[in-house]
Amino acid sequence: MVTKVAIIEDNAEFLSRFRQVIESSSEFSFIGSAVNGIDGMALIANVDADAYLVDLGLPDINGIELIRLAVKIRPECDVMVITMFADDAHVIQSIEAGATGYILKDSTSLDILECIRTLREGGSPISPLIARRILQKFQPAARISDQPTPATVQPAAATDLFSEREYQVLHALSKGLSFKEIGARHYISSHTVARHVKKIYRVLAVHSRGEAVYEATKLGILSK
Amino acid sequence: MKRPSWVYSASNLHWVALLLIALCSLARAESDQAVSRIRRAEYIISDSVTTPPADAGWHVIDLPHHVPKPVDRELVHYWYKVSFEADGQNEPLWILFPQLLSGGDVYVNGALVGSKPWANEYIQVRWYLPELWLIPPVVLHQGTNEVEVRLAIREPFTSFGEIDIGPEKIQRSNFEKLLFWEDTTADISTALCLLAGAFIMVFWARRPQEKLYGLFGVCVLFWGLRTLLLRTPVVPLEYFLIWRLAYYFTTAGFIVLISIFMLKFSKRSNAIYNRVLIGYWLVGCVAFLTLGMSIRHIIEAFWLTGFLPLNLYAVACILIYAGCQRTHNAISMGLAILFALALSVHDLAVQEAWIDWPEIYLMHLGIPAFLLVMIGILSDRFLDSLAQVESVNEKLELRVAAREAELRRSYDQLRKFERAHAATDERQRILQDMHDGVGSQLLSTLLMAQHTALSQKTLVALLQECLDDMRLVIDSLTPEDRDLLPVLGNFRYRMASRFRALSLNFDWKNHDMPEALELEPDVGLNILRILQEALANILKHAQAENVVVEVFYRSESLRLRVSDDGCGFNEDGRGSGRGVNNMHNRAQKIGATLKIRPLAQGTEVTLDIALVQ
Repeated sequence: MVTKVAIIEDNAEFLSRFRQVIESSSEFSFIGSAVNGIDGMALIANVDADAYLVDLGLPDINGIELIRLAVKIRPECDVMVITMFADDAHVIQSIEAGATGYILKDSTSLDILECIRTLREGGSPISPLIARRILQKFQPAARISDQPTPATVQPAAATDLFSEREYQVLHALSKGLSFKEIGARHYISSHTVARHVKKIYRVLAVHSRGEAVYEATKLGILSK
Repeated sequence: MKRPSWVYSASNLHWVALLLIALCSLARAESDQAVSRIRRAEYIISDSVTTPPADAGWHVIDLPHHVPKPVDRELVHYWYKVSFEADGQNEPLWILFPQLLSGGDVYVNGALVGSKPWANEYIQVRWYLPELWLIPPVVLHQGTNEVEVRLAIREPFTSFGEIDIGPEKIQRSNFEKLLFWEDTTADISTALCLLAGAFIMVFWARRPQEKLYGLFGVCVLFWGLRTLLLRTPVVPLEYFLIWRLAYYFTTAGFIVLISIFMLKFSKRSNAIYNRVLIGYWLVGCVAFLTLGMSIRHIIEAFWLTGFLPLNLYAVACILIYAGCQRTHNAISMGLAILFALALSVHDLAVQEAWIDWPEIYLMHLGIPAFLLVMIGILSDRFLDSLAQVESVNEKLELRVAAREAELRRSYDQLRKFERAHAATDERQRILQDMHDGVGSQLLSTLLMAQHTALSQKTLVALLQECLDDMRLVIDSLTPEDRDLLPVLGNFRYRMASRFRALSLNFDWKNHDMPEALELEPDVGLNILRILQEALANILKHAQAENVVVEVFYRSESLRLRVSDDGCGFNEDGRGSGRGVNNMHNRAQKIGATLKIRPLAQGTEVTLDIALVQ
C-alpha cells in the first residue's frame, strides 16, 4: 500500500528536496504541499494524507497549530515535524501537540524514507537527548538540584505516566543505547522498541492535553 | 481556656451540695416511723458485773448522754438501761446503736445479745461504728422490756448515744447508711488524703518552687494520718500516750498548715503569724508529752480550741480574698473552707457536748471538698500552661514559617543568580565555540572558496563539517545537565546514519556503561569534536569499510577508541593534516591523551580522559 505524504514547508529548497525524496520511492506518493500556515490548514482539511510533514517555522501560523489541527481532524494520520536541529524544546512541543515523529532538514534521503516507514509501521524515532528531556520533564528538579522544590503541585512522575517497559525503554534510550541494543536487552525486536516510543509520544500528548485542560479549568477558561 | 476550670469549680460546688443533701437524708433516716427511738435512759456508775438493782441509785437522763466523766478515777464503769415496749408483733426486733463509741456488753432482759470490746486496764477503745444486733425473740416478752448496757469509759466525756429498736429491714438499711457515713466515707477520705498528699508531695519534689502546693500536700498528708490515727479503734495502753500525742500533733499540725496555706493562698503570708502558730503547736505537743494524760482535758478543751481564733483569722483572710478576687478558684476555696469550718465547729460542739446531737464526727468530709478545689486549681494551672505552651508553639511555628519563606526567597534568588551566572558562562562558552569552531571553519571555507577553485565535493565536505560542528555545539547546550551519555548518544545516531548512507559498517560498543557520566561542558564538547574529527577523517581519507567506536567507561577514566580498516596512516595525507593537529590540541586542552597508531590494516585512534571524581 502506498503511503500518501503531504508537506507543509515554506522553504522552496527543502520542499523540493523532500518532494524528490518522497517521489523517488514507489512506496510513497506525494499528494500535496503548502508553503504557509493558511494553505497548510486548507491542505490538511482537503487532502487526506497518511503522513504530513510540517515545518514549525512557517511565516504566518505556528506549525504547532497545524499539528493540532491535523491530529484533530485526521486522527489516523501521522504528523512529522521538519526541524533544523531536532532541539528538544521544539520537538517536545510538537510531540505534545500530537506529532509522532520528527525529521532533520539535512537528513539523508534514506533516513527520511526510513522515518516515514517506521511511523506507518507504528513506531517513532527518538534521539537520546529527546528521551532524556522527556524523562527530565517528569523527574522534577531531583537530578538537576538536590534542593527540594517548594511545595507546589508536583508534576506526574515518569513512572506513574508510563508503563514499566516504556519507562525502561525511555531510560535506556536516554543513555544513548540504540533500538537494537535495547531490543536485545529486553528480548524484543527493535520495531517493538520503536512502537514503545510512539506510545510514549501518545502518552505525552494525552498528558499535555490533560494539563492544558487542568490549567484552563484553573484559569476559568473552561468550566468544569 | 477559662471555661474548663470553671466547670471543675462548678463541679466542686455540686459535690458540696451533694454532700449536704446526703447529710440531710441521713438526718431524715433517723426519724423513721416504724423504728422506735429510745431517748430516755437511766445510768449508774457501778463496777457490778450484773445489772445493779433498781434501787441502787440510777439517774434518769436523756439520750444522747454526753457529760464530763467523773475525774476521780481514770477508768469508770457504767451501766445504762432503757426500756421499750414490745407489742407482740411477729417480726423479730433488732437493736441498733448509731454510735457505741466506748463499746459495751448489751443485754436484753438480762440476756446478752451483743458485745463490743470496751476499755479496760490494758486497752483503750473508741469505736466509730454503728452496731446492729438481733434481739432473740425468746428473750422478749409482751409489754415492757429492758435493755442494759455495761461499759467502761476512759475518755474525758461520758458518751452514750441513742438506741433504735425495730424490724430488721429498716434497721439494716439505717445501719448501712450509718456505716457508710461514719466509717466508709472516713476510710475513703483517709485513702484519698494519703494518695493525694503523696501525689502532691511528688509534684512538689519535682517543682520545689511551688511552695503553696507543697504546703497543701503536707496538710492533706497530716489530715490523712490524723484520721487514720483517730480511727484506730483499739489502742494498747502502753502506746496510748504516744498515740494520743501523734493524734494531737497531726490534728494541730493540719490546722497550723492549713492556716498558713490559707494565708499564703490569700497572699497575706505573715512570718510572725506563722511562727506563733507553729510555736503554739509545738509547745502544746511538748507539754502533752511531758505532762501526759493529766492535761488531756486541757489540751482538748483549751489548746485545740485556742487554734480557733488563729484559724478563723486565716479563714477571714481567704474569704476576703475570695470576695475581692471573685475568681472561681478563690470562691470555691472560700466555700470549701466555710464547709470545712462548719464541719469542724460541728465536731467540736459534739465532742465538747455543747449540743445534744449524736456524736458523729464529720470533719473528714471537708477534705474531699478541699481536694476537689485544689484539683480545680491545679488543672487550671495545668490548662493555663498548656495554653501557654500552645501559644508559644504557635508563635514558634509562625516564626519558623516566616523564616522558611525567607530562606525560600533567598534560595530562589540564589538559584536565579546561579542560573543567570550559568547562562552567562554558557554564552561565553558558545561565543568561544563560534570563534574557534564553526565561525573559523566558515571563514576558512569562505577564504578557500574565494581564492581557490574548490571542487563541489570539497565544498560540500567543508560545509558539512561546519554543520556537524554546529550540531555538536547545540547538543551540548545543556547548562543544567552535564551528563555526556545522551549527547554521545545523539552523536552516535547521527554518525550511524551518515555511515549507513554511504553503505559503511558503523559499530558502536559501550563497555560498562554507567547510569550517567558527568563532565564539564567544554570537556564533553572537546571529546565529541575529537571523535567527530576522527570519524570525518575516516570518511574523507581512509576508504574503510568497517568502523568501530568503543567506549570504555571506568570509574576514574574514560577511553574512546576509533578503529577502521582503511588504508591506514599516511604521513602525507591524514597524519600531518590540520585535523590531527586540532585533535591533539583539543586533547591537550582537556588534559587527555590522544594516541594515533596504525593497525595491520587501518588506524586506531585512542583517547584517554582521566575523570576527576
